[in-house]
Formats: sequence, C-alpha cells, structure tokens
Amino acid sequence: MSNNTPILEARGLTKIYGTGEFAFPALRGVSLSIASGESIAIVGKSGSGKSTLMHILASLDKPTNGAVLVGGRDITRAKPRLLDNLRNKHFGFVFQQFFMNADNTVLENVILPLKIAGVGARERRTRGLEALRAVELLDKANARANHLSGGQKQRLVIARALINNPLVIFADEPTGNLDSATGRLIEDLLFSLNQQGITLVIVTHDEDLSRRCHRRLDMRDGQLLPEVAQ
Amino acid sequence: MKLFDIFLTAAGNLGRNKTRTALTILAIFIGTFTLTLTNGVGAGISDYIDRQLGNVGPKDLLIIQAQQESQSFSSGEAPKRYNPSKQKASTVAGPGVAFNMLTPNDLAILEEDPDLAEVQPYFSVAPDYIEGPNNHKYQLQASLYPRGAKLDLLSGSQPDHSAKDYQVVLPVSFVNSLGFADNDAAVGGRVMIGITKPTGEVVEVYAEVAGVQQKTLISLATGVGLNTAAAQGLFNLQTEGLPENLAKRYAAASAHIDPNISSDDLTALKQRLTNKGYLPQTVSDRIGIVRQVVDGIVVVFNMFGLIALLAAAFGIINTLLMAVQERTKEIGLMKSMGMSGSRIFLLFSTEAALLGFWGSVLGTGAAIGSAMIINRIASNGFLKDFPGLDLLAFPITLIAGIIAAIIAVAFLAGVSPAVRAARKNPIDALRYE
Repeated sequence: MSNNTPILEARGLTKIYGTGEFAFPALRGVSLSIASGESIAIVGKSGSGKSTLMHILASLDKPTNGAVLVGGRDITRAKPRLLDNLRNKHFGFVFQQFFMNADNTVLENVILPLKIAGVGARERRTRGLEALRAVELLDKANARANHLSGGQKQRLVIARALINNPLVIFADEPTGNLDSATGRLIEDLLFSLNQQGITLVIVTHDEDLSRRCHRRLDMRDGQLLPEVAQ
Repeated sequence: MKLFDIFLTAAGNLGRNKTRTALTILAIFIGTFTLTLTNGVGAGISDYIDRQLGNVGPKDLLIIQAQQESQSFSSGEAPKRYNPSKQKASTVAGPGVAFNMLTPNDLAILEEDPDLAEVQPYFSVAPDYIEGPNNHKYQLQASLYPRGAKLDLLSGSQPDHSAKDYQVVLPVSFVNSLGFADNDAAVGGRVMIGITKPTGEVVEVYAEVAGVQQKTLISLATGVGLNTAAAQGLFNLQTEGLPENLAKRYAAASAHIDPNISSDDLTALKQRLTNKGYLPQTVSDRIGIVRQVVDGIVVVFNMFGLIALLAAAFGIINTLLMAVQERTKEIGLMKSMGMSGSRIFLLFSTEAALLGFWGSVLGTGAAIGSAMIINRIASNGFLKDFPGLDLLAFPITLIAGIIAAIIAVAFLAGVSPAVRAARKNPIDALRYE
C-alpha cells in the first residue's frame, strides 16, 4: 500500500442494536480516515458508541451499514477466514480488563497469538521472550499471570499485542484499571511503539491520554463531533 | 492453531478444574468398567462355547433323525392313517416313548439330496465293558464321534475315521482306572471292549487309544468316543445274524453341507428334509440355545453399562457447558486474536474426547485387573467343574472397540458445547465485564 492510502478508513458506519421498538442506534453515520503511523484517541462518554466504533474498525463486529477499509481494501463482506487472519497477523489488542489466562505463565499468555497462527514452539519462545524484554517483563516470563501486579499485567497484554509485529494496536481504556503513575508508564510504552511505526487506536475518557495522541475524535450519541486540531 | 497445539491445550484445560474433570472421568469410568466386565463375561463364555462346539462337531455337519411322531393314548389323539411310503420301517416303542429309526431306504433318500454329502449312518452301539492294562472291567458307554469334530484333547490326536483299526478316545477320568500311568502313557495303548452278540455270546475286540479328552460341558457323544471303524465293527457284532430289516436301523445319520451355505439355502434345505419326514439339525441348532441364553444375559448386563454411560455422557455435556460458560472471555479473546470457529470447536471436542479417553482407558484397565482376580477365584471355586473356562476374556479387539466407542460417545456429547463455544461472538465476550 502506498503512504497515501489510509491504514483504516470508515465510510458512513451505522450500527443498530436490536430491532423494532427496541432498536438502539449505537453509530449513526461515522466516517473517518486514519493514516499509517498515526495515534488516534476516540473519546466520549459511556454509551457514546466509541467502543462499538473501535470493534467495527478492528473487524470484531459488523456494521449495520457502511464500510470499513483496511489498507484500501473493503473488509465489510470479507470471509471470516480473511478477518481471522487479519486480526491474527496485523492487529494487536490491549484491553482494560487484560483478558489473560490467569493459570498460565506470563510467557504462555504472551505467545497465544503465535500459537493461534500455528508458529512452532521454539520460535514462539524466542519471540515471546523478545516481546517480554521490550516491555521489561523478562524476569517474570515463567511466573503465573495472576501473580502479577496491575501494571505488570497490562505490560503483559501489550507484549501480547505487539508479538506479531502488528500494523495497528487497538487499546480499549488501557489505563482504566491502573493508578495514575502506573498508567503513565503504560502510556509511555504505547507511544514508544507508536514511534516505531505502529498505528495506535485508543478508546479512552482519560483527557491526559487523549492529549498525547496525534488526533482526538470526540463521539457523542453515535456521531463524531467536528475534529479540533491538537 | 496446529492440531498438536490444540491437543496440548485441550489436555491442559482438563487440569484447570481438577475436581470437575475427575468426577466426569469417574462417571465414564463406571460406565466403561461395567460394559467391559459384561462384555468380558460374554466373550469368555462364548470362547468356551466355541471350544465346546469343536467337541460337538464342525459347523458344516448336519445331524438328521427321523421325525418323532409318537402315538399317545393319553392325549386322546385319533390314530393316523397308515401310509406305506411315508411310514418309517422301524419304530422302537418303550414305556411312554416311541423312537423312529432310520433305515437304509432313508439313507438312500438322503444321499439323493444334492446339498448333502458323505451321508453316514450313526452306528449306535451298546458295548458291555472296557478293560485296560490292569484287567479291571468297567461299564462302558461308547459312541461314534461325528466326522470333523474337534475334540478338546489333553493328549494324543483326533480319532481317525478313515483308519481300518478300531480307535477310541478316552475321557480323562478313565485313564487311571484302566491302569494307564498318565494321559501320555494311555495314548497308543490298547483297551479291550466286550460286547454281546444277538445270540447272547460275549465277544471282545481290541482298540487303540487315539487320544485323551478334556472334561467337557456339552457333547454329542457320550462316554468313550469311537472312530467309524470301531463303531461300525461293534455295530456289526451286535447285529450279527439279525435279519436285514432289524439289523440296519440307525438312530441318526450325519451329512456334510457346504460350510459357506447361505442361511436362506440352509433354511430351504432344512425345510425340504422336514417335509420328507426328517429332523435335521446343525451343530448350532443343537447347542445354539446355550449361546442364546448367554447372549441374552450379556445384553441385559450391557444395558446397565449403557445406562451408566448415558449418565456419563450428560456429565460430559454438563462439564463442557460449564467450561464454555466459564471461559466465555477466553474464547472471545482467542477469536479476537484470529482463532477460527472450527478450531475452537476442535479444541472443545478434543477436551470431550480426552475425557472419554481417560475414562475408558482407566475403566477397561480396572475391569481387566478385576477380571484376573475374579477368574482366579471362579476357576478355583464355582467353576471348578468347567476346566478350561475363563469366566472373563478380553480379546484386544473388544478392548479397542470399547475404548473407541466411548471416545466417540464422549466426542458426540461434546458437540453441542463445542458448537456453542465456536459460535461465541468475541464482542459479547469482550464487551462485558
């Protein structure tokens, strides 16, 4: 893809949950374009549709109408296999609630995307340790995941998100469960990845975090507010 | 995800809730254990019956008797019309019984049947005594063994029906009484058989001991077994001088049929012979009832095993449904990281199959272990009179079949939870805390 092609593009996205009188429009016509290497904050109150927008951009959910393009390619009607492959190889996910297998070791958690991709055990280990070194968690590789502190857990999740050298990392409230000092360290880690060229899409209601991003998209009632230059 | 990784992950997941996994395996274990033991009893007894069948005669042997139509006065039955062509020439009537015998005419009719080969009269003999090296005389019942019968021998060889010499097969209980040192010493030894001619004169003939027979549960022949030459020789002596029509009367005839005969053709043949006034029976007709009873008992026991397994199948379904519920987030996470629905399905199905594997391996193993103890107790105890009978037998095909069947049942039980897992939407899993 050329540099001019946006890495992510949304055209007229709508999302309606439920049907009939219970129908609830979560997105009401959202269009946006994200260039490769950008860092984007999607900001809004709870129920504004920001998480729904991120899920649709990350191909975890389907829009009711409209289209999502990844690197110029419309993935709205792509086969599940292609989407599985896209998420496995090119997207990384960081969640507020961490989502890890608490009984497994740190290393086992980190290499899960590689395991799903079918990468061999030896390469998994090498790359897993490499990712753990990048988030300064190498000494905890063989510890059980639920023995980690909150900040360490989020570093584990970031290591897992970057292990497949993704194009985009989607982060949903990455600092929501952390104290502000620890949250600051996690932010630093995310933005250092952004500086290495990984596009960041962060859903947050943390003003400080959104200010550090290149662009900030405000959502209200399923629509984007006019963009304000940062 | 590679299949090997799916397998390892599934195996690892079983360890995550050890109590639940252990209880589910225990349920499968009980079902398997019951099923294995009951089938083991079935196989053990069937195996014994098969060996006993050898004593009775080969599968291609047809025993033909005349139909028995006794006239009973107590039943008030009207007398039947005399039919010279159908009437059996010789009927032996005793108190309350009448027994129709076969005549040379009957043998000729049988020989004409295209499906019957080697029609042989069955020589009934009534010798008086047998005498061995120690010159003690013992009462003797002797009978002709059907050609092709495979006797359960402890020593020696099967009687030779084409030999001109008289041969006998001694029951093992005769060996010491007759004065032989042991079974091997008896083989090749000589015994003397005394028989009374119609004139009242007692004559003695010599016979060679061909083999020594294991004690047996079921057999066509009673007492000492005779080869054709011995049976025919004794028969000739006991009918010597009698008029032809009195002498040549036979209790039964044996004939060989095509061993690969279809069951339809066999039924047709039997019907044809029945219409001609005969009573044809194959070996399995004669002792098939024993096996039917055993099979019936095994089926009943198997029902218990299957009911236990059914309960175990619901245990598997329950275990996996709970696991799917508990791991909603984990499934959502894996799907968000690009694991396909079919691989998720495979992961949970493998867990189900592994539960089945452990349950069935432990269950069959425990069943085999207990069978060893049971067999030892049984053959020294209530089965003492059935030498050679192992109450429980476990052919490897039976064990492999049971394990495979239970893994299949477990897999099927896992389908519904696995489908449920595969259909989980990553969003539903990830959006809610």
